Amino acid sequence: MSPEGVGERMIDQKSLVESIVIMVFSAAMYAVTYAFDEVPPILALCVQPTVFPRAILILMFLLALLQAVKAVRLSPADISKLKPYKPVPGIVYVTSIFLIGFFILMPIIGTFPTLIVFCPALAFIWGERRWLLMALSFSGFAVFIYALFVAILNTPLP
Amino acid sequence: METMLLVLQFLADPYHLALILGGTFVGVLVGALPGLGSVILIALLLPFVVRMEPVAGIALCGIVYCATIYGGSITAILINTPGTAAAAATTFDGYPLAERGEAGRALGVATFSSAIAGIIGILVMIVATPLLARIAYQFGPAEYFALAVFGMSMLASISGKSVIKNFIAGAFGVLLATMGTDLTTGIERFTFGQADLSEGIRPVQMMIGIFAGGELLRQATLSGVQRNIVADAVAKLPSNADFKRLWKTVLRGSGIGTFIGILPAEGGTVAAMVAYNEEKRWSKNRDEFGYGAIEGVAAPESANNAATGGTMVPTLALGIPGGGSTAIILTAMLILGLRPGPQLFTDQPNLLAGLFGAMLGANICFLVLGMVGAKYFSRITLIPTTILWPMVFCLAALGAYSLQQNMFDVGIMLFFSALGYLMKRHGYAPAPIVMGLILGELIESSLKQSYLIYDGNLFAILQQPIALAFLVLAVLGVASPFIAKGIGALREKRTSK
Repeated sequence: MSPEGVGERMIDQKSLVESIVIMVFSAAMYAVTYAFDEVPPILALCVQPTVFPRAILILMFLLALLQAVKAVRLSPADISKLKPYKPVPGIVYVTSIFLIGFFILMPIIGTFPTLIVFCPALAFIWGERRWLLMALSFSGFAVFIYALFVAILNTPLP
Repeated sequence: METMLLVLQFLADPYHLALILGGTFVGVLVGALPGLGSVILIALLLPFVVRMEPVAGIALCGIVYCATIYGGSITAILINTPGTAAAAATTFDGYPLAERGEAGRALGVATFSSAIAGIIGILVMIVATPLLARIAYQFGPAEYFALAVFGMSMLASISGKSVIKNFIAGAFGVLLATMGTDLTTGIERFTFGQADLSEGIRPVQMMIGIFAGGELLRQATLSGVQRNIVADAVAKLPSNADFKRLWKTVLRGSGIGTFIGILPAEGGTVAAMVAYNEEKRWSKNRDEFGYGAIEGVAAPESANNAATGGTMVPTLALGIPGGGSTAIILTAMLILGLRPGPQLFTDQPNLLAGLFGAMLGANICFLVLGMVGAKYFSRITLIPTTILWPMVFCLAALGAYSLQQNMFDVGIMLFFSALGYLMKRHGYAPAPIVMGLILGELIESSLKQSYLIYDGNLFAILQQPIALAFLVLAVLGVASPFIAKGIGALREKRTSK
């Protein structure tokens, strides 16, 4: 999604897409405010609970619109500053899956087994191959977590 | 005088001294680690701070805030990688000095400039905070509304790639503040049927996610980066010649840092850049800048450390955060039931004296630790990212869980981790969201109260002199980047003619 030429005009597609996403989000949230319960004016102190969120959403929409207009009306100086778009690296997706895995595993198998599985696994996919370093670091870390949360803070962990 | 006695009383307690020593040690260590910084460290500490005794908890936040800002300079000088964003300007001349064998001198100057300016900033904070808070006695809802709007307007010049993006992020933060049960009407807003959201977005989990979780995903792409220490130096005491050459620089940097720190939403990063540019503009040795000018180390280091005291002034006196780190400290205060403002000075003199004493103690402590151990602190950067960040994530997730023993909170943290990563990637700074989240509630409640007081005529807000002054400042704050851009373009046109 690099800047795309349309005749002599240039469009910053990335910024345009961002703006559209924000406008759609603002519109969707605005629609959600219609689901809020209405309260009698005397209880609402004349200001319904929808008023303020709607004002903020309109502001967000207008700001995104302004950004969209900027994205399609680039000055030569802006064009020189544009960088080619790079997709999100695969490792970020894989890391995200691991984080979700942590979230799912923790209540099922418990905190400490999850730590023992998660830390070396994430380090491994990030390219770490020094097993002894990993074993020493992560076992020390598990002891630290036990001491901090269980022994000192008395926090019941799953 | 009474405050100074309370400060001394705080410092006389061995528990508090241990807190200062431990907090400074951890703060300098974490500050030296690129990627982590004061914002992430304070966010990670939040789950523990809110369970501590209030004076000790808030004091700990102040200690690590001062120490991390200093710690960032060590790696900026020795490996050309600023440990914190506030130390970015220190690399410009600190690293060239290290490359030509003067790393010890650079570290010594950075340590002394940081400590002296940090102490000046805190002394200003001790004097200015109660004075500013006294003004707040005259504030009603209209003034608080205008003040919060002024705070939001400063997002125009906060770090980030675009003014519009900062405002969008700020508005999103305000929207998040509206989530949960509306306190006036009892109506649930944006809860999507989730009982866990009825109390609104929990700020601790959100902040841990957006700062620490977002950074973890960014670090995933940097796990192959190797860092080498260019010089293995011990910090040297600045010579008499250096003291003579730099005292004006340090005073200028302290002034700039304290002033910029006091402005809502600004912080050490902006202060350091401004101080560096001003020093370059006024220095007789301006040709040396970028190639190892010692003033190029002293100016940003004095400014970013002086800003720590400055940023606390609006935070404590008015409840308007001076920057990202103080926004998190403010959150901790609110969770602990401490509402900033004039009442804080009468109700909680021990808390404020504790914070002042802790920050003073931290500056003296890192002066000693820095001179003795800068060489060893820089070694922390040799810890592989692949080992460090999985641990940071687990600590963040367990911290988020531990507050209410609820997995939903970990889910919230994960959601904001992804959001924090995507926002940063697309040039949206995360700090404006936190500003919006904190100021959003104040904006809405003060606006509603003003609406009632003035019988539905919101234009009456403009008839209040203090409120009007803040709103004019807000307009100027929003317009300032565009005015500066216009002046720059005009100058360029003139020179091209």
